[in-house]
Amino acid sequence: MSRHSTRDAILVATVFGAILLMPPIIPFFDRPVSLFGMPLIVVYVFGIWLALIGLSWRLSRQLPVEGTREPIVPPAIDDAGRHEKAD
Amino acid sequence: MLSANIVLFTALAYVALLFLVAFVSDTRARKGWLGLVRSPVVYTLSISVYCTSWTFYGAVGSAARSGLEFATIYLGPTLVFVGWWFLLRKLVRIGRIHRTSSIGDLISSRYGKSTSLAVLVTLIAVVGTTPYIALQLKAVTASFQVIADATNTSLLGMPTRELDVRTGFWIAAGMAVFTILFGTRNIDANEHHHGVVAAIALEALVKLFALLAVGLYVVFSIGGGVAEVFRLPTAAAVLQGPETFGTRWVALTFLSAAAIVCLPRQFQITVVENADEGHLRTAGWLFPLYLFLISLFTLPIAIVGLATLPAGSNPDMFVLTLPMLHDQSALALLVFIGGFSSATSMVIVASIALSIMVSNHIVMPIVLRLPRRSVGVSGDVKKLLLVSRRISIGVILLLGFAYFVASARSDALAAMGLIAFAGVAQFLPSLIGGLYWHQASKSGAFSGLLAGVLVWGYTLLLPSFEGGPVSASLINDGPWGITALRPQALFGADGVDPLVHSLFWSLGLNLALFVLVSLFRDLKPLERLQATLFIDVFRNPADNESRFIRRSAAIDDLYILAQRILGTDQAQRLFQDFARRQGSRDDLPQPDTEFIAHLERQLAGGIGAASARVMVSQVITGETISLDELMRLVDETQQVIEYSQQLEHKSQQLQITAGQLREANERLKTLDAQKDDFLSQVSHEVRTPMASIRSFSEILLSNQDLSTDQSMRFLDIIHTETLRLTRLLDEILDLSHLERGELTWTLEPVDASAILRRAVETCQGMADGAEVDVEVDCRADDVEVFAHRDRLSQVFINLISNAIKHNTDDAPRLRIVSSVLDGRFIVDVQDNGPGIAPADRERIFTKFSRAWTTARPTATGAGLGLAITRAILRRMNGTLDLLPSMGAGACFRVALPVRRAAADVSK
Repeated sequence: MSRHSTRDAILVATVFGAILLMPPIIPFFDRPVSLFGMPLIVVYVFGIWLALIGLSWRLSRQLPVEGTREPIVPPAIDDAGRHEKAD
Repeated sequence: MLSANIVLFTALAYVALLFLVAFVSDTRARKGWLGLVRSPVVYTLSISVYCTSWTFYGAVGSAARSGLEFATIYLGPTLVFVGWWFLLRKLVRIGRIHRTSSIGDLISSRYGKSTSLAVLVTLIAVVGTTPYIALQLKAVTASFQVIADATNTSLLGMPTRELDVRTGFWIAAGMAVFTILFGTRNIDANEHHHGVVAAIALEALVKLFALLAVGLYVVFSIGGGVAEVFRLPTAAAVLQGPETFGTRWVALTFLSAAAIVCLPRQFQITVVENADEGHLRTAGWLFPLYLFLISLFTLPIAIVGLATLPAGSNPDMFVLTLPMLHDQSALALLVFIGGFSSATSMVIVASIALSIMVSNHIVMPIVLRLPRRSVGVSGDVKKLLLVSRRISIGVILLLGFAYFVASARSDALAAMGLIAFAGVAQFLPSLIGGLYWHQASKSGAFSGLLAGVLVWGYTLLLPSFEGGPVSASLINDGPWGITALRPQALFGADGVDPLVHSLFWSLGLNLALFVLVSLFRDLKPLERLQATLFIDVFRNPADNESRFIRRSAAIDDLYILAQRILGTDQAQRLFQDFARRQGSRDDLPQPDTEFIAHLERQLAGGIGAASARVMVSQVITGETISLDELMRLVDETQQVIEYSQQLEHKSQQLQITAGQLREANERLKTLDAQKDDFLSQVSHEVRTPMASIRSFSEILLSNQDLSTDQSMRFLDIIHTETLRLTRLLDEILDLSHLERGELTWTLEPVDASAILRRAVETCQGMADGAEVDVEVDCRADDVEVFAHRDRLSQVFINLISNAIKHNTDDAPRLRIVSSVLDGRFIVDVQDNGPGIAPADRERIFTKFSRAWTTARPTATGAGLGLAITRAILRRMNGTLDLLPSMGAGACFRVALPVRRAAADVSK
C-alpha cells in the first residue's frame, strides 16, 4: 500500500472505530445474550477495541519513518552545543 | 502478616528504587547513553501516566456503579492514538520544531507568542490539576487506611483518624522532593527529563502488572473462571444499568479523547518528552493495547467484589480489599504498590508540567516587567527559572494537599477526575483550531477559553462543593432564586446529566466565541506568521521564520542574553556552532535574522516562546515583519491549486487553438498551391495564343511577298487567338467578380425547367457532332426559381458541354434528369465517361482544375468552367455537387431552392 492509502486506511479505521462504539450502533449489542461465556456487549466493546489495536499495529508498520529523529541529545548542560553539530 | 508499617516500609523501598532508576537513567543520559530510555516502548509506557490512581482504584468503582461506562475513559485515547497520524504527529512535529515547552507554550506561541494567553492557559491548568493531585493523595492515604483498618495495625503509632492528613502530607512532601530532584535539574533546550521518564515507565509496568495479577487472581481463584464470574447475579446488575450508551457515553468518550491531548501532563510526556517522531508509530498501537490490558479485568473485579464483599464496602477500594479479604498479603502489597505507582507518576509529571508553565508563563513575564535590575549576570535567568520551578512544584503540591485536607470529609473527590478532564478540555477548540485554521486569532482563543472556563467553573466545579462552602439552595434554586441560572440546569435545561450539561454549555460557548471573534478580528502580522508556521509545519521548516521577520541586533547583546538564560557554557557552544554553520572562523556568528530566529527558538525551549520573544525584543534594534512575503506563503497552496487549474484550462485552449491553426495552415497551403497553379496556368494559357499571335505577326511583318490568301489566313489565326485570349481574360475577370460578389444581378422568378430545355436544345448540335446520345427526363415542369435567366442557362450549358467534351467512351451517352425534391429543383447531368478520380472530386471545382486532369491531355478550355458554374449557383443560393459515383461516368447535380412548383410531373 502506498503512503497515501495507508494514511486513508488509518483515517477510516479511526472514524469507523468511533462510529461502531457510539450510539446508535452500540446499544444494538446491549442485549442479554452470552458469547464465549461473556455478555455480548462486553465481547463487542473489547472486540472492537482489540481490532482497532490490531489495525493500528498493521498500518503503523507500513508508514514510512520521516527523517525527524532528533539527534541523540547528550547531557542537558551542553545540549545546545552538540545538538546543533548534529544538524 | 501484613501491617501498615510493613506497607509503609515497602513503599519507602519502592520509592528508593524509583530514585535509583531515575538517577541511573539521568546519569547515563548525561553521558550520552540513551539506548533504553529513548526506545519507543519506554515512550509508550511513560504515556500511561494517563492511568492514575483514579484508573487503578476508581475504574472498578465506576464499573460497579455504572457498568461499562468506565471503558469510555480509555476508548477516547485509543481512538486518538489509532489516528495518531493526523493530530499527534502534527503536535509532536510542532513541539519539536518550535521547542514547545508546554501546552500553554504551544497555544501562546501559535497565537502570536501571546503572554496573556499563556497566563490564562497556565491558570486553567493549575485550577484543573490541583484537585486531581488531591485525588491522588486521597487514593494513597485511603489505601493506607484500608490496610490499617483491615489489619488492625497503626502506622507508626498514629491514631487512625489523623492518618489521612499526616500521610497525605508526607506523601506530598516525598513527591515534591523527587520531582524537584529529577524534574528541575536543568533548563534544557528541549525539556527532556530522562530520569523521570525512566521512573514513570517502570511505574507503568508495576501498575499494569499489579492490576493483571489481581485480575487473574480474582477471576480464576475467587470467581472460578470467566463464565462463572459473568453468571453471578451482580454481573447482570452491573451491566444492565439504565442508559449506559446515551449522551453521557458519547460525552465521556469525547472528553477522554480531548484529555489525552490537552492534559498538561499528557502534553508534557507525549509531545515535550518525545525524542523521535517515529516513536508515535509504536505508541499508536502499544498505548491502546496498554489501556486494553489495564481495563481487561475491571468488570470482573467489580462483579466479584459486589458479590463477595459485605454490602457497603467502598467499590473504589475493591482492587485492594478483595485480595485482603482472602488473606493474600503479597498480592495486596503488590496492589498497594501499583496504586502508589499510579498516584506518584501522575503527581510527578503533572507538577513538572505545571511548574514549567508557571515559571515560564507567570514568573518570567512578571520578572521581565519589573523595572530593569542591574545588568544581568551570566546564568541569572537560568537560576531564577530553576528556583521558581522548584518553588512552584512545592506550591502546587501544597495546593493539592490543602485541597485534599479541605475536602477530606466530602465525596467530591470521586468526581474530580472528570471535572478536571472537562476543565482542560477547554483547550481543545484553541488547540485544534490553531493547528488547522489560519483565521484562528489570539482574541478568539482568549475569549473562548475564558468564557469556557467560567462556564465550566460555574456549572461543574461549583456544584462539586455542594454541602461544603456552597449551599445546596444555590444548586437547587439558582443564585438569588433565579431558576434560569441554576448551575446544573442553565436556561431551564433540566434533567440532563450534569457533566453533559456542563460540557455542552462550556465547550459550546468556548467554540462559538473562538470562531466568531476570530472571524471578526484581523490577525496581527506575528499571529499570521505563527499560524502559517504551525499549520503548514510539514511544509515549512522553522527556518522559514527568518524569511519574514527582519531583525538586527548587536552580537554582544545577544550573547549576554543567551548567557543569562542558558549559562556560559551552553551559550558559548550555541554561538560557536552557529558561527561554524555560517562558515565563519570567528567564535561569534553574524547576528543576521536567521541567527536571531534560531536563538529565540533555543531560548523558547527554556523559558517559553512568549518570554523568549520579549527578551529577544529587548536587545533587538529594529524589527519588521514582511507581510507581503507572509501572504505569499499563506496563499502558496491556494495559488498552486489555482495555477494548475489555470494551466490545465490554458493548455486545453492551446490545444484547440493549435488544431485550428493547423487546419488554417493546411488551407492556406492549399490556397497557396492553388494560387501558384492558377498563375502558372494563366501564364500558360495566355502564352500559347500570344506565341502564335507573335509568330504570325512577325511572319506578316517580315515577309512582304505573302499572298493575300496567306495573309488573310494568318490574320484570321491572329484574330481567333485574340478572341481566345479575350475570352480567357473575360472568364478570369468574371470568376473573380463572382467570387468577390461584385457582380450585381437582379434575381427574378424564372421557369427553370424551360431554361433547362432551351440549354439542352442549344447543346444538341454539339452533341450531334460528338455523336453523343442525349437522353432528357424532365420529371418537373413549370418550376419557378429565383435566378438570373442567362446565368442559369450558362450553368446548364457549361455542364452539358463539359459532359459532351470529356466523354471518351466508345458509345458516349448523356442523361439529364430534372426533378423537385424537398423543395429544391434538382438537375442531374450524368455521363458514361471515364468519371472523376476520388482524389480530384473536390479539386475539379477549383480554378484551372483541368491542370490536374493529366489523364485527359486532349481536353480544351481553361478549366475555369466548373469554378464559375459553382460560383454562379452560389449566388443564386443553389449548389453544384459531384454525386458519389454510381458505376461509370460522373454525375453532376444542380440544386436550386424552388419558389413555386406548379405541378410535379412525376406525381
